[in-house]
Amino acid sequence: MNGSNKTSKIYMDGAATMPTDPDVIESMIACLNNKELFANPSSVHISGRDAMQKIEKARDQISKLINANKEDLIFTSGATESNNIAIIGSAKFRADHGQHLITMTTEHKAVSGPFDYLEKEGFEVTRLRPSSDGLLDIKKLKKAIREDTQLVSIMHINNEIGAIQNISEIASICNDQDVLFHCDAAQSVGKISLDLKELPIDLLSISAHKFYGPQGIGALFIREAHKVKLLPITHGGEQEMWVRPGTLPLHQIIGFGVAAKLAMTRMREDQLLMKDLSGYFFEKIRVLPDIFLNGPNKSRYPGIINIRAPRVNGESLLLLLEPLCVAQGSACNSKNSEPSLVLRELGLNDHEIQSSVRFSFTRNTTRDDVDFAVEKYISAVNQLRKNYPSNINE
Amino acid sequence: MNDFYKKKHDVYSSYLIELFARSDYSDAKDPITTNHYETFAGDIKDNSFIQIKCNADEKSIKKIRYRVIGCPYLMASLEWLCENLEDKYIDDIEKFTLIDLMEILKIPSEKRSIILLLEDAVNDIRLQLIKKTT
Repeated sequence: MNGSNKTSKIYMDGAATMPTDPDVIESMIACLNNKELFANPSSVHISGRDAMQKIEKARDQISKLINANKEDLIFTSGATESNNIAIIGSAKFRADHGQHLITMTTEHKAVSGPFDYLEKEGFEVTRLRPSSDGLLDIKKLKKAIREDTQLVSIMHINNEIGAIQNISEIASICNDQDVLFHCDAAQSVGKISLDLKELPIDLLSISAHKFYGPQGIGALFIREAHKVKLLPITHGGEQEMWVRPGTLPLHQIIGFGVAAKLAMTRMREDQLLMKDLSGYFFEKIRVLPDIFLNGPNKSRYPGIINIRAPRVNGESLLLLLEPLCVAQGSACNSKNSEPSLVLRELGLNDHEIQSSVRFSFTRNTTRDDVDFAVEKYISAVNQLRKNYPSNINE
Repeated sequence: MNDFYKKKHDVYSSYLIELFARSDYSDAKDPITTNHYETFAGDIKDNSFIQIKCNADEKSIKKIRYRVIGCPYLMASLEWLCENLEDKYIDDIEKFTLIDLMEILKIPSEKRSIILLLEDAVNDIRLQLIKKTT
């Protein structure tokens, strides 16, 4: 097939948001259409109790996906809110355990933001830098933990480069030192297997729309939620164990539950697809000289590929790549013209960061799509390089 | 006011996209190979660097082309600039203004430096042409 003939959009920005699965959409529409279910799930009348039953079913489906106790899961509006509640809520509640917190410089803004806030509130924050491949050197973490350290927060899969941190080892280290461990797993839940009965993770943030669920809904896993107390950061209701007050959005939670159930049944198939697409992408793109992969070769989620092409401006590249939908860095940072902090932490300069583009696949991506994307990318890079200034000393 | 609200979100105008896609005056498409005047402006490290080349006789610019690494605003601005400078009398270049380009291409205020960069380049080319004719 000649990919360049395509005129409709080709979506390769799954790390920003995944397309909602048709089964998820169907379940949400059915919920909204069902007059019997119209009620506030917190109401004590029969309709409210029916709605709450659906909520609990979804909670069960989501907890099974990560093999956790369903009592340890609270619903939030998404990973950003989960991260805020986990980091700020636990740090403030346990302030008497110590004022020292640890995170990484390559975290998503939804994690670095709460740490910046806590720093202004008087906490001391150590931000660990990754190696040049984006992975954390565990020795650095061990060295950074002090007697007054109370919380470590490190993401599982990096949203920009796909680096997979060794959270099993990180969690064990924290557990041994009696330090709480929070993990932003927005990019990993539903994509790679997580067993919270095995992993000693205390707090874990989940986002539904990163694994084909609806936007605007997420969850926070709080190990032994009744014991590990968090200070709520919003107030005004007793929902979700007082930690996250507010009316529970029934249709979104039902969709979230269906997405979790689908993820369990499709995980292996999805993983094989990502591996196949990634391998195919690299096989096709290697004809283009002078391009580089940002991030690790190993310990990388194959559905996220961040590549840079020197002598190319990324913004112009994105425009030339249309109707291909790809990204330059995090979508949550796209209104900010500052270069990606994650790529800077890998040691890249402004020019290298600017020339980088992220491709992220979804379960709807096909080899034909990859053909189109690669063909388009090669043509765009060649076009821009052809008009690069000549006879200059760099 | 919060910085977020001050910042205009980048939305390319249809005219900008037209110029960006056209690139009729790009040196890669229709190069200048014979003796020519040339100027460079910008900083390659900032990913914003231009090269302008032109052929001219005693009176006017006969052919003008550009090479560039930069954002779509810079690329479209160069296309517009060359289109407007080709065949222009050297004496008229001094009066040539880029002040309206921000509005014409809907260039956001944070990209204002593009205009300064082009002004530097045009001025340098003008000085080279004047020097040659005097």
